[in-house]
Amino acid sequence: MSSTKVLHVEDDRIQRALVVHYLVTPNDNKYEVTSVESEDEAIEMFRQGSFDLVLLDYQLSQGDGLNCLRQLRKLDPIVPVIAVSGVATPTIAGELIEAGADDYLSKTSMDENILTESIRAVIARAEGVRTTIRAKLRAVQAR
Amino acid sequence: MYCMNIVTIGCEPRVLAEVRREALDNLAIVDAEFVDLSEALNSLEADPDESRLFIIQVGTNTELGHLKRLSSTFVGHPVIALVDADKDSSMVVGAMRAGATQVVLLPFQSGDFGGALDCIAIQFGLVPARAKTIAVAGAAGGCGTTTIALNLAYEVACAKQIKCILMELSMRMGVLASLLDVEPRYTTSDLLFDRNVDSAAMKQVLTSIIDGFSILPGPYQSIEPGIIESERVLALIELTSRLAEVVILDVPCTFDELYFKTLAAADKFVLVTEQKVSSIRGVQMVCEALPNTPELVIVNFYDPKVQGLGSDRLKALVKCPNMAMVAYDPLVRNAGDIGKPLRLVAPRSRALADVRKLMEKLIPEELLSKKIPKPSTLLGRLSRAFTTSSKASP
Repeated sequence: MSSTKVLHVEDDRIQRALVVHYLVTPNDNKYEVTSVESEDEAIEMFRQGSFDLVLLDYQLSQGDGLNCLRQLRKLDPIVPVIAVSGVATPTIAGELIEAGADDYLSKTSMDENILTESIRAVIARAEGVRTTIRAKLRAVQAR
Repeated sequence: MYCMNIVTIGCEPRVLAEVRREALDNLAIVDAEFVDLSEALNSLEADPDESRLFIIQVGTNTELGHLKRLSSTFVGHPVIALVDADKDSSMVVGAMRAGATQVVLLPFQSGDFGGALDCIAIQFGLVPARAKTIAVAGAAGGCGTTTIALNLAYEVACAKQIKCILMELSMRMGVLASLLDVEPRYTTSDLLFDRNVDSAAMKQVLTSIIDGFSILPGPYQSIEPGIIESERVLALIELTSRLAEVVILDVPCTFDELYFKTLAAADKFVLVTEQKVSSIRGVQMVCEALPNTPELVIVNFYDPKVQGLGSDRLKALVKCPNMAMVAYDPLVRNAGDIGKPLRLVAPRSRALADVRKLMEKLIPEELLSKKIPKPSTLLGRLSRAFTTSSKASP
């Protein structure tokens, strides 16, 4: 089985290491994590590579997480984007839904289980939606 | 399930009670009950366009004569003769010769009456009535989809006396059996690999919870492996829809082929979400993927105090005009722990009040306002007798 390619957008070095610690284990290629620090780098990297998922810090020192999400959505409306924030509030949640985030996790409560379960759920959903939309398009083309 | 009006003639009270029960069970309505043939002939007009099924109890040669007269008067209408073969087996052949379309033996055997109705339906070209299927689907895990589906189905059966089946489409591990604290003998996984299942067999495998409410749960004792063919599940749903007036499908958020095909095939579907990013995004994505829009988006565990995600904001985010809220209510968890529907544990709970509102929105008007056939009363019989004698007098 091919590994899940994760683009991690995070300017905090400790957080980057923590996510790698949660997702990458020796002798297990389930996840392949590429980390970038800024909004511009994230967009550039996303254009270059084919990522299965984006893990996005809401508060970036260089750039804006929300703006980054909007740009990513222009490039790919379905790729799962999980937003991560120091403090998760319903107000931020509303903004993120509007911009197209798939899930929203708080850094303070995030652990390996929460993160991997969220990744599993959003990837399954995106795959299902992609397949259904493709089938719908094929049906339209066949008519 | 056949929508036909039943007219009973000469049935003993005990038999009549069973006929009513069997009729209700098969969604046929006992329209009129007559003590004898002459009363029936005086009251009914021979209208070939009216879909009528006569049921007459036959035990003597005189009653065989009545049957013969009935079938020759109401030509083209099916007649079921109820015969106690233990008393006189020749009555079976006699009833057939006298014009009975089907003979049902007394005392009633389970499924025999329904079998006679099925046969009559084929012979007379009656189209079986099909239940309205309502898919209740989760937009994300943990939204309380099964709880909503269960309490909705229970209310439909109890409050409105609409025959309802709840089918849990969790194909690997379901929770419905534990939410009701029952141990059903059969689950969906027992039926998926048996291609010989018909509606009669389906009826046998349903687990009755109360009168008018049955369930077909997902597997609950072990995690079922294997690949599920979505077409096979859809065929089971189709079979189930012939056994009730409303079938509620509890669809877990698997986002696989079965999930999307079930939502597309149901008469109506609703999406259950909550005030969380993941589940609201789930609603948006499902709506984009499907050609049809949900009848309702249900926000479960709704808390108006959650800032920034109030009802108006949610409506704007979800872009679905029809949204309903089910209040956060700790009593829901209590009910689940006890293994009972909310109606039995907390009949005045806020969540149940919201579920009742859902029911009014989702169940078709013609079912909500249907007349529930009532057993004939002495007053009714007197009234009919009076009408009959008035008609007879010059």
